Amino acid sequence: MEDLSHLSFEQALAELQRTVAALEAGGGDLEADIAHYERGMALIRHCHHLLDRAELRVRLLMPTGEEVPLSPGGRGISEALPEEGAFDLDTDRDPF
Amino acid sequence: MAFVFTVAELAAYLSERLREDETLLDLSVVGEIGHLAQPNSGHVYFTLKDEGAVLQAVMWRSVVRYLGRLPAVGQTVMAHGRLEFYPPRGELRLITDDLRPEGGVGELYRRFEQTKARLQAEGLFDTARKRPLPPCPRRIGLITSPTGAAVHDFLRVLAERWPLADVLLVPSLVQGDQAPASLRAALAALYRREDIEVIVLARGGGSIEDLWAFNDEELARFIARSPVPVITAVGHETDFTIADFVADYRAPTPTAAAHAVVATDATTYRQQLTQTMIRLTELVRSHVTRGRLRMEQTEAALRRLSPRYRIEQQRQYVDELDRRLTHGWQQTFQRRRLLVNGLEQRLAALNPLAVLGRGYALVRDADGRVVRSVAQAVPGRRLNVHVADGWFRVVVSAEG
Repeated sequence: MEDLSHLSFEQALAELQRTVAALEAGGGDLEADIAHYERGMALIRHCHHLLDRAELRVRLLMPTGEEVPLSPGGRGISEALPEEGAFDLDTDRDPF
Repeated sequence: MAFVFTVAELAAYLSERLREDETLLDLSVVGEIGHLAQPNSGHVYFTLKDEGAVLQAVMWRSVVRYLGRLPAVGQTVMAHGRLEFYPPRGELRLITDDLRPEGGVGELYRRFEQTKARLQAEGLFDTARKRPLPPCPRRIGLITSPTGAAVHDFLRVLAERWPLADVLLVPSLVQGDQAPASLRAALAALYRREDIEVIVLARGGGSIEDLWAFNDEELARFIARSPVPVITAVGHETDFTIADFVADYRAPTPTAAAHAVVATDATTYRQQLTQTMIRLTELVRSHVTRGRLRMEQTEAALRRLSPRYRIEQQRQYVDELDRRLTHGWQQTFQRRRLLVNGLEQRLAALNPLAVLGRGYALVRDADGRVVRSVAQAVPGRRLNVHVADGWFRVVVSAEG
């Protein structure tokens, strides 16, 4: 069985939709249909796996442009924040 | 007898009485800034005054942080907070948690309506401008205060609904004079990126003044220029800001924004995946069944072509003929028997001798001719009389 780990959820989902459509259209020989079926099942397992394992990733964009990863789900934002006032932006410098 | 207090007792008594009065715990005072000082502690001490009176007031550093700019001496402001007795100085003072230039809410509404009308006339609120939100965005830009409730509400719900997302949190001021520029800078930081698929602009509930930054005209125009869909979630359900009108989608609260930002949540996807699994299995099973059916049909066709099958067919045909023959014969036989029976009955009915049973007699002459006339009955002639059970001979004796 081909390794699916490189597929994103969206990619896997899109391929799954195509696979189901191909099976629904029918007309293929039985061997091809069974291959579609096995591929579809593998894609479903992969999607479930991605959902099971996923934890919301949150990164904090610093004024310097640096990105600071926070704990999953965005916990510990306050700890990640720099000194008070670091986000008091210089309003005289209009970015546009 | 009047009560006697120590000073400390009186101070405690006063403090107690002040805390019992709900009006004094939540009030706004309009007045002119008398003098104002901000020592190293960061707290701001000031007085509010008008023609007749002066009130001491203090604003703690934690509140000062959210204030865009300190008011100037002489400026008329509206301060909100609670009244407290401060024993060390023997003062009543207003513990201020909000300070606004007094121009009033009426003035704010007027400006709100003007801005709204102007942008609306330019078509910035047109439904046709609203872009559909991506169904399951991978990267979401979140602009909000990193310390407010909005960020936690949003991330908590999003983590449940769509944990595959990747959120880039851009901290911004969300209230005060500097907030519009801060929000624009945060938007600009996201506009420069290629990876962000949707931007959420969030702020928790607050007074109309708290939310005022989101009514900024420049901010609205800037939101309108976003290369990706923008979701606003400002204040509560009932709060509408200019930013909401210009955004591609307005969520009533930050929590609602976390719902809106992913059209289908993980739970729904799981259900869909399970259904797809069932569908796939059904499809393949039906294909296999159809294959088996085809195979059986082919097998049957093949059998029809075999010599044995044809011999069997012939044998069956002969059997069939045999059956039909036997049956046909039996039918013919039966039919004839019925015919004979019928004829026999009809014959019996016509038998002339049958009347003899009723007492008639038949007379024949010696030659066997039936006597029909007296002319044949010549006296002396011998005749034979037939009755039902036999016959006898008579001699004609005389003419009648």
